[in-house]
Formats: sequence, structure tokens, C-alpha cells
Amino acid sequence: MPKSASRSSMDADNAHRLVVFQNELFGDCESELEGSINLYTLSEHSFHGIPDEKGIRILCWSLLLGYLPEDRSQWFPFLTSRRKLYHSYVHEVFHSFFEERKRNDEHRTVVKISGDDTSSDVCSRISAQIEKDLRRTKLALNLFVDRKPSDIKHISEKHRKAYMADFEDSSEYSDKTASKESVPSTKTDKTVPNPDDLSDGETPTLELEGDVLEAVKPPTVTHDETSSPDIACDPIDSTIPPPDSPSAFSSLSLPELSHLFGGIFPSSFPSTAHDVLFRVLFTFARLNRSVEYVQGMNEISAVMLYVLITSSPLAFSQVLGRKDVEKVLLSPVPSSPFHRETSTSKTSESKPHPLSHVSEAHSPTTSSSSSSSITSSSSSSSSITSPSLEEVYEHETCDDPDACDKGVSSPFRQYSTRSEPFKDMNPFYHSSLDDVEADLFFLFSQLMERFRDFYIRSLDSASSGAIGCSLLAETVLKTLQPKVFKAMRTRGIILAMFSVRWSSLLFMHVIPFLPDVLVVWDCIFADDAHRQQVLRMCVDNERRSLQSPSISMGGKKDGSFGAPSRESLTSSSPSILTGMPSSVGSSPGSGRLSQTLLEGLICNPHAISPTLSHSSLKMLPSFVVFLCAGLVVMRGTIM
Amino acid sequence: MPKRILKIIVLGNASVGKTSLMTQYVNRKFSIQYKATIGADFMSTEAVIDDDRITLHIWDTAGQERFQSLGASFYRGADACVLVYDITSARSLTSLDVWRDEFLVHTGGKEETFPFIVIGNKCDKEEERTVEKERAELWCKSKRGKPIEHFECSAKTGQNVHEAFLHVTKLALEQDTSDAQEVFIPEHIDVDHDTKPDQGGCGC
Repeated sequence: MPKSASRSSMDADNAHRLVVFQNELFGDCESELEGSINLYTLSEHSFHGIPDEKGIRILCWSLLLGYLPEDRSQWFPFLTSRRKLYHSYVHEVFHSFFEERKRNDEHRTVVKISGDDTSSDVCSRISAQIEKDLRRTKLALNLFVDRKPSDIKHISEKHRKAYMADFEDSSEYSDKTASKESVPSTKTDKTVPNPDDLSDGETPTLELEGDVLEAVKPPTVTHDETSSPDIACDPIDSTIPPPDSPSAFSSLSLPELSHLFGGIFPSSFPSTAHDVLFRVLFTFARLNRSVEYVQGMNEISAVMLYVLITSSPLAFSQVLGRKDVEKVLLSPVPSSPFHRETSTSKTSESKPHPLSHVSEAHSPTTSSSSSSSITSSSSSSSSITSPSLEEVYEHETCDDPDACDKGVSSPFRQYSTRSEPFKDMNPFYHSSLDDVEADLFFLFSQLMERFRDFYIRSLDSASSGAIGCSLLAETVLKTLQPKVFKAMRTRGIILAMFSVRWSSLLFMHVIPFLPDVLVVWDCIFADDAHRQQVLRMCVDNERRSLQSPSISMGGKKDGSFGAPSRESLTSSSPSILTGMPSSVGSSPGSGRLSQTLLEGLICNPHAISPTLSHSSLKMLPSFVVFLCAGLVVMRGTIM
Repeated sequence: MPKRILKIIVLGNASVGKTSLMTQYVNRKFSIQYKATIGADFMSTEAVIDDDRITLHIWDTAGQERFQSLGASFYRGADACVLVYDITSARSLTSLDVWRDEFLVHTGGKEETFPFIVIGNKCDKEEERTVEKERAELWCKSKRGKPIEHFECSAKTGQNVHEAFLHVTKLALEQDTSDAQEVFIPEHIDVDHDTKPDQGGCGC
């Protein structure tokens, strides 16, 4: 297929999809948000992949995951209240931890507690774990790359001791922190060129900072090496001075925190993004004690943070420091495939993504989402490289302080080119980094609510748990893909071995390219939301029929309520995943449903299996179907 | 003579360097940028012992507690087990007891005969050492059965890594491998049965 032709059709398709989504999201709102979202149709559209432009993805995810209410007029008030709520969560979690810690330290000097897992020990354990994982979360997105490579110093023992000496004396430390906080302006000057931009993120929470600091001071004295030796510092890791984040939570940045947690390392976290992730994960772990923190959450939250940050120019500039955007974009390409996300134009020539030609030829839906990443929608499929790079550069060097609104950093260039008005109606567009953090927390919580069972050990063998799901998938495979199943069996391949990873990372590790991950997540979230909608309708039906006088209210009620579904599910509303009879089936997109998913999963266009639309799949938990899809795609490797 | 396949399991706390050790042994490479292992993973390599070529399947397991029960299903048919701790973390050494016990329970291996070795990783970080070599050796001696060999390695520099894996390969060879071919067959859930409509059903 000639490149130009496919490109223009792709562009047209893109534009069309954009309009579809705008209609879904904003309806006929002109200047004010009103009316409500039809989650049912939104999930159907989203299943084909959500456009990358204008922060639409984060808006869709928020709706699909049930974070934002369906009523548009509620969006802004709702977010405001949620963000406040998050601040109080953080306050509560860290405050109580510090209190506990303080009590414990006093206690510990008298009686050495051994074996008892006090809540403070749990906190230290969790924080150490999160800290370790974040350090090696190769977030790989440029957002998370350190800001000042020249500042990097390898920590020797000497440095570490010198650093610690600063903290030996408690009064000295509290003075320091206090004075640090009293002159916040000097801090912001260093990293963010234009502090005025950021003021609205800062002001409302100053009180909180003060409160937390109160709690921070006392326990800093002691650091008990034997109590938590796991947190020992790692000289491999390089460090830069603590990021002077202009965030409302800056008093809770990692250097301070890690010290409090009994750690003896200086911060090895190079960026504010890590601080954000740490607070979110730690708060989540403390508020959801049955789940706590499980490895894999770090990666999932990192991707969500990425999507959030790239939806808001303000947050993006805050996390990078505006001048450094340029540096990052022009910095040498790290080995990570994710890197291409922020500088597609540069890497696409040297390392064409295996999917790029495939998606171009076969499925406009996939290609529109995967290749239109951020910088330019066509760069991965065309040979234009240097001009777009220059273009990027040009934008970056522009010194206009308002420039970020006009698209100074590449992710936002689309805002300036197409339909401005919706920008203001997107509640995520004007988020500051603090808002992003709060939203990340709630989005992540919503996500966990849906997929929590994968993370809970005691639920492993439940049908919704990690092992249960994979066993179910194996059975399905046996029926639908006996060859694949047999091949796995003869080679002794245990599905659980990788399905656990697939499920707890939502397929992140098997997909080498971030935009593809995002598309697959679109599918997963959309399918899940769709099922929820279907279920809701079923329950409504059920309720209506129960209320009708002809049916007795006794005996059968519970059973039919708990499992309303088979008949009603199959008849009233089909699952989008399995290809759909009735009206949905007639839409041209339906044939591509599984294709999109499968291609996204493993870049193999030939793996579309007709058997996947087998009707029995409709009743399976969504993730089992995804697992099967993944396996079918992988069969080349297996057999 | 048929080619021997040996299965070796690597166990230890989170971020003691299991993946790094394995990669250093198999690929002779080190990177500081490993991700946390989730579930389990394995690498395959060949070793030559006494002119015999042996295929090694080295299984890397997740260190976090949450994944322990999942990891257990991969222990079966193991010929030897490598226990890894971090010389800068005392806790990682004491946890080896738990790892070893759990491993024995799941494989049904005999404490007296099953081959283990212990690796103290990160010995390039001498200045941060919190576990003295003697203490680890004492731990090894405290176990019943065959004396457990102790190695201090560095996955980063590669120091001692090959020696340790060579040793464990030899141990595994000595071990009776009759159960090595056993394939784990998971239980099945009958989908049709599971999804049968509720007999009570909706009466409408």
C-alpha cells in the first residue's frame, strides 16, 4: 500500500474518531458542561482505542473506571472535592505514621521489640519495598529521567555519612526544615522558571504542610540501623540533590521521608515524579490494608501518571522544569522502547516498531492509536524525521511563559491545532501536579477496585484471582484452541507462570511499546466498563421483574439477583469483546475488535482467531478472555 | 547418552539480586535496571561438566511475599536450589529459613539430602556489609543434612558467580533426577459446568 495514501486515510480516520469521541464526551455542550455521558456507547468506542489527542484518553479512562461521574456538570466540583479529600488522606496517613513512629521509638529504647509486627514496622516495610521498586521501576518515560544529569554524584560511604551527619542532631534538623519551608520562593526559583504559574497549586495546602511538619520533626532523631537494615543505601544508584518540588507535598518528599522511615540513604530518586508515585502508593497501601502494596503496582501507577501528566501542560512543565523539556527531548536515546513516546520523531527511523507497518496496513484503529503517539501522528510510518525534530526544538526554545498553554512541550501541540474549545472543558487539562497526584490516587484506586483480586494472595485460587483466572483460561483454551493447549501441555508450560505477570501488570511487560500498552488498556477498561453497564441493565431488568406482582419475592430472589445474567446477558446486550449480534454487529468496527486487542498484545496480525467470538466466551470474566487472546497470539512461540 | 536437563530454582527475598545473578551467569552481563520479577521466569543455558553437556533451566522467582504461593508451583521437579541473600541486609539472611522450609514442603524433598547452596550477593558493597561471612557460614552449618556450601558473589562484578553455579550444577547432577521429568498438570475447571444457568433461574 502506498504510504501517502494510507497516511491520508489514517489521518481522516483519526479525525473522524476524534469527532466521535468529542461527541461522546462533550455532547453538544458549547461553553458549559451539561448532560450526561452514555457509558455504554463510550465503552464501545473506547474499545477500539482512544485517541491520544487533547487528554481525551485520561478523560475516557476516568469515566470508564468510574472515577468521574457521568453527569458532566459535576465534573469540576467533583474533582475539586476529591483533590481535597486526597490531601486529607495524605495528611492522615503520614501523620498517624509519624505519631506511631515516635511512640515506637521512645518505647524501643526501653524494650527492644522483636518479632512483633507493629504498624510502624509494617509502614517501614512497605515504604522500603515501594522505595526499592520505584528505584528500579525503569519508568523509562522521559518524564522520569533525572533532570540534571550533570548533578549526578555517586554516593560513596563518605557522602552518605556526611549526609547523615546533617541529620544526627534533631534540633538542627528541625531548624533546617523549618527554615527551608519558610522561604519557599528560593526553592522554586531554582527549578521552575516561572513560579507564578504554579501558585494555584500551592496556596490551598500551606496549612497542611505546616501540620505535617509538626509531625515530622520529633522522630527524625533516631535511625535504628538494625531495625530496618533493608533500606541500606545502594551505591550503584546515583543521586542528585533532593528535588525542590514546588508541590504542596514537598515536605513529604522522599529525602525527608526515607529518613523518617528509619532509612539511612539519601534520596536516590531523581525526580518529583518518583515522589508523587511514592506518596500515592504508600497512601494506597495504608488505606487498603488487605491489598497493601504489591510489586507491579509501581509500574501500573507509573503509566497512569504518565497519561495524567501528559494531559496537562502545567503538570508536565512542573515535573520537568520547562527548560529541561528541551534537553530531554534531545538527549541520547536510552535503550527503552518507551522513550519513543516522547521523541518519536527521533527514534522511529532507526528502529521501526514491528507493529507500525502492520497496523498501517491492517487496522486503522490500531495504527491511529499506536503511531499517533505524541509528537506526530505519522512519524512512525513515514520517513520524516529531522524536520519534525527541528520543529520540536523550535517549540521548546520558545521562551514565552505562557507557551506551555500553546503547546510548548510536544505532547500538547495538538491542542493548538485542532478544536480549541474542548480544551477548557476537559477537567484534566488545567491540573497542577498536585491535582495530578490526587487524580492518580483515585484513578489507581478505581483500577484496583476492578482488578484487586489479582493482587491478593488469599484470593489466588478464587475464580477472580490470579491462579483461578489462568486455570479458567486454560480450560477455555482446551475447548477452543486444542492445538495451542496441547502444545503447552507437552512442553510443560504452565499458564500460571506468566499469566500472573500478565494480570498484575495488565499485559505491560509483554508489550514492548508504550502506546500499544495504552491501547490494550483502553480495551481492558472499556470491556470492563461495558460489562458493568450490561450488568447494571440486567439488574435493573431483574429489579423490575421482581417488583412485578406475578413473581414471588421468596426463594429465588438471591440466586437470580446474584447471577442474573446468562440469559439476560446474552440476549439483551452482548459483550463487546466477543463480537456482537444485533445492532452492534453491523457496525464496521466490530470485526476489528479482537484484532485490535491481539495486535496490541503481541504484534501479530495473523493471530485473529474466529473461535474467539465463540458465544460461550461471553460469560467468562473479562480477563480470562484477554488471557486466551494473549495465548492464541503467542501460539507461534509455543508451538 | 541423552542430554541431561537440570532444573535449578533461585530463591530469596525481594531485591537481593536473584535476577541479576542469573543474568550474570547466563549472559555475563549486569544491569542496574532490572524490574521486580513478578511471578516467575526462567533462563536456559548449557554447562559442561566432565565433558558432559548439560542443559540448565534456571528458575527465577519473585521475592515479594505475595508471590510465594504462586512460586511454589514451579518448585516441582527441581534438582537443586540456590538460596540468595544480600550481604547488606541481615533480614534477607534470616529469611532463608522460611524460603528453605517452604521449598522443602512444596517439593517434598528431604531436608537431609536435597542440595542447596547459599549465595551472599552484592559482595562488591563491602563498606555496607551487615552480614559477616562467618554468620552466614554458621547459618549453613546449623542445617541438618548435607553441609550447605556458602559463596559470596557479586552479580555486578561477576565475582564467584560461575563458581557458585558450577557447584550447584554438580550437586544437582548427583541428585537423583528421576522426578525431574514430571510435568505439573493443573486441575481443571469445567467451563460448561461452571456457566450452566442457575437451575432456579429467573422465573419470568
